[in-house]
Amino acid sequence: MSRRENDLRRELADHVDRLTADLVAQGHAPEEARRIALAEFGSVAAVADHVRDVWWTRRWREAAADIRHACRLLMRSPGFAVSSVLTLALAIGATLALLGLVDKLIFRRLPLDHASRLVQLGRTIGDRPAALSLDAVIHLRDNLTTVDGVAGHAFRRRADIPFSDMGYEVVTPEFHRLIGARAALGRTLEPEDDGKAVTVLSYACWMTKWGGARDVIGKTATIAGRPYTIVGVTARDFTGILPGVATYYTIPLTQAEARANGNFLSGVARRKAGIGLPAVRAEAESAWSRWIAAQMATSQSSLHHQRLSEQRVEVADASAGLGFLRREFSTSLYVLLAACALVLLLACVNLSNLLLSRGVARSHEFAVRLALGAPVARIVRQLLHESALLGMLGWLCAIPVSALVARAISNAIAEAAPGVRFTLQTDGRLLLLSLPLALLTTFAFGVMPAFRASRFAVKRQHGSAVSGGRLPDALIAVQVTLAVVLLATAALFVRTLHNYATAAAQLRTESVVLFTGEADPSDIRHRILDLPGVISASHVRIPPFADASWTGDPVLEGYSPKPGENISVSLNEAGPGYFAVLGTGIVRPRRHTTCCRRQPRLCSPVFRGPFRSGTVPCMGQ
Amino acid sequence: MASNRFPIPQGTLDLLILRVVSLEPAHGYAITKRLRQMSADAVQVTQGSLYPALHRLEEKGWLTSEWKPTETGREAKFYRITRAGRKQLATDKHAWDRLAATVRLLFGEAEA
Repeated sequence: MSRRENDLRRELADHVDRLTADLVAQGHAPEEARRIALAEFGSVAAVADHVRDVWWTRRWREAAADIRHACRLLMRSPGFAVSSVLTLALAIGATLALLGLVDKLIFRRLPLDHASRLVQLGRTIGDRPAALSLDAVIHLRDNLTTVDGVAGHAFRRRADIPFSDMGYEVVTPEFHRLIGARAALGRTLEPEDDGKAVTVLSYACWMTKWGGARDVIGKTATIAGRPYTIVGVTARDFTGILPGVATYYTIPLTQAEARANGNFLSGVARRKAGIGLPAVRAEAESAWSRWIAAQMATSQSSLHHQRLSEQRVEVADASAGLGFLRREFSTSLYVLLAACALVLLLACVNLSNLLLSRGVARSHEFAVRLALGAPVARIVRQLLHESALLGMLGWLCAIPVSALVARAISNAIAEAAPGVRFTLQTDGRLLLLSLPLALLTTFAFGVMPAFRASRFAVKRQHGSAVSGGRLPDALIAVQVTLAVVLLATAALFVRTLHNYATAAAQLRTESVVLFTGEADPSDIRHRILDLPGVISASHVRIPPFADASWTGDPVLEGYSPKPGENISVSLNEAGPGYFAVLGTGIVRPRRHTTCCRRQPRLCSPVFRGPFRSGTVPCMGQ
Repeated sequence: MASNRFPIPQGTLDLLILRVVSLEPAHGYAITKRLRQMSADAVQVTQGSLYPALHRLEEKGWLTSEWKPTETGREAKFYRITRAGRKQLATDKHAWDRLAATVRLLFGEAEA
């Protein structure tokens, strides 16, 4: 018994004793005095109850009693209990798993010593993001005083093997030191590695490709056809600076590669301690305008000047990694999350309906309680406690569900995009965060049925006719609307997924063989065509699905671009019969041969769209 | 014998208890007796309303309590008014005076 409870008993007993003593003093016999005192005092238990009602602990006692009551009720109707808890568990579990994914991709800080101070530097042309050249990175490094250094970073998939999971990053040698990466074995890249053919493995690469052997240091790894000496392995928790992308190898950038590739780097910088992002941005902007001015001085072309003037430097927080996957997937993730929230909403409306119908069925119980003097608010509170119990149970069951969904998502991503590896574990932080959310939602959706049930009870009690009321109708309408929206969203999703899945199918990739080599294209083409079983052959500069791009500004006959208009397009160079090899249709028939005086150019329908002048414009040199 | 007892208006009990306790710390039984004496038997509170009121005033911080021996040597729970309780008493008294004056005014009686 609590001290407070003990005090109360003593206090009330003391009152009776004093009354008895007074009565004895007035001449009553002790037994009689006791009897009179007790009669005058009334029920000690009732007085004690009234006192407990003013204590602040009352709500807790009532809640505990309600929960006990709710548990008994749930055990009495297991069908209702199981269906509502499962509905909630599925909805909460799916939302949790997706939240975990969004968190990992968008919000989670990198496991690096300097993660919180990392900044991404890039540029935009108009409103499109673009990469930096090595010279631009060096210019920024030499001109920024608010950062501890600027490194260049580029991620590559092996272009010669489409959909390969062998991602590697090419970085300026100070990259690892700048971001504060640690080595699990050997060392990370050092500034002295400039120009050397060395590589640092990721932990996953070390485990999967090298069997976790400790003597891997000093061995040779072949990356993009070239040998590199392994000098170390990065720490286990660091999977690369691009969230969600499995980096296997990190190699230092060579001058030759920098010259050959032009603009291909992301800038990574580390803010000095105590310097904010706005200060870095301001300094980067002024350094960038000097860079642009220097570039303009080297060119006389007005178009080039215009393009340069459209460029802005972009400075963003990179504590969660560089924004490559984030840009690509964040919208779809948010959409998916919204869909999950809708499912959760639907589950809640469902539960609300279940509670509502149960409330109607239990109106007799409420009527009895009201008749016994229970205030309506008390009954409403009891119903809310019941939904809170459901929410709690649903949340508990959601934990294994979220783990299952997370595994399914990881597998789906690994299947759809090799090289993107997620390990989604059930996150304690998220779980804790989701508990109040789960309780709040079930609470919110328990209110309506609770009020309705109490009103129903009052009506029954007063003997008036009970109408169906508008509330259930409205709920059904809401539920149907939500279901339709959800169904439509789901259908669109399936369509989008289908589009992704069949994007490759519009090309006949299944019987296409890709190879690289240095040879005269027309010569090798004829020799390959002579091979048995070969139907067609061609050559191309950028193979399909390769992680490379080539852009340029076309000169359009009869069209002069408006000032500030961005007309740059993606380009590729292909040999004759390229589209026949891939089995891609050509919208506007024109035989693709090499016999024209000017080389024939083909445009995609996307490009033709804005220029429907009747003739397909030709691009100049 | 015609009883001069009347039901005390709602909300007045707190004011009366604060008034009694403001004179000197007292236990529940003494408060009942004192109320009866001071009001010449007009105010008689039941234990069913006195004790919840005492505990409510204590929860609000207007009273504090401690177990102390009485003159007979038995321990009893003594209630003592706090600073906040005195302030509340003054406020309640003022409100009560205004209400009483208004009621008298409505009945055309001169203010006493």
